[in-house]
Amino acid sequence: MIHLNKLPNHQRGETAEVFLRRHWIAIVMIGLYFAALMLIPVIILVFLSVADLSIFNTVLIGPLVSVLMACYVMMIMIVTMTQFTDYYLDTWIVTTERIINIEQIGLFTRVVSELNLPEIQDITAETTGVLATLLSYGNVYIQTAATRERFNFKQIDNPEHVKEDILRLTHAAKVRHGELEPFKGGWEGA
Amino acid sequence: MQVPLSILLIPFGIMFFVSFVFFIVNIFHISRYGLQSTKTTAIIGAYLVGFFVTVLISGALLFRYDWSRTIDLGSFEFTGDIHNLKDL
Repeated sequence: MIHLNKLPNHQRGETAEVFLRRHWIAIVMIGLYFAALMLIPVIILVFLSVADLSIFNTVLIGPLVSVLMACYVMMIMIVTMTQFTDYYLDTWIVTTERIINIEQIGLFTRVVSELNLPEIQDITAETTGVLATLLSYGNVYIQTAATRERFNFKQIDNPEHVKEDILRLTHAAKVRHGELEPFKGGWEGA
Repeated sequence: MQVPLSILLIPFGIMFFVSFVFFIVNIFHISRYGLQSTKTTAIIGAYLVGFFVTVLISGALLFRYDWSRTIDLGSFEFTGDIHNLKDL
């Protein structure tokens, strides 16, 4: 398991400041997907009863349909579980020294990337769409000076707030590493 | 042609095995890569309950039949009327 106080390549004095997962809307979407899939056998059963086809009392068709429905229920369970695992293991950790981007792609692919805070050049917060605006979720893009593709914090809660937190931590890291002079007035809300 | 009804349980058995493997893999991933917290423990518990409930539902669907009997496919003649399926 991940321990926030014992991250890989943990540096002395480093603390985890921000831990993020995708917004709860992702769980709602998984739940809706699950509910829609479960509705299909219910609709079929209703249709069969309306058409007066009491197939469950038959010798062959009844057991066959029961087996198919049992297999279908197991399949839905597995798909839902896998989708939730994918959601739960997509995490972003911002420490006082670096950003750790952990992306779970399916069940058998996992990508872990790290970025030192002083390398950050640009941070962009993006909220797109009616639902995202109402629920305050969106993406945060982090770009370095290198040619590597930017980090993307997907569907996170309060992207503007997260952007400000990362900016503050980035500035503090640059000051610590001697790349910047500290603000004389300090950060608001720090 | 006499066919044992239990032959229909073979695809279910395969599906159950595959589901069990995926269930174990999901539990493994959550416990290995999840953040150490009560939420992770609760999710593992929810996965266990979910799998158990799924097995119960599948069992409820299947246990209403006597799988030891055989059926004679040769005695059935389909006349084109879907209600004829009640004879199968």
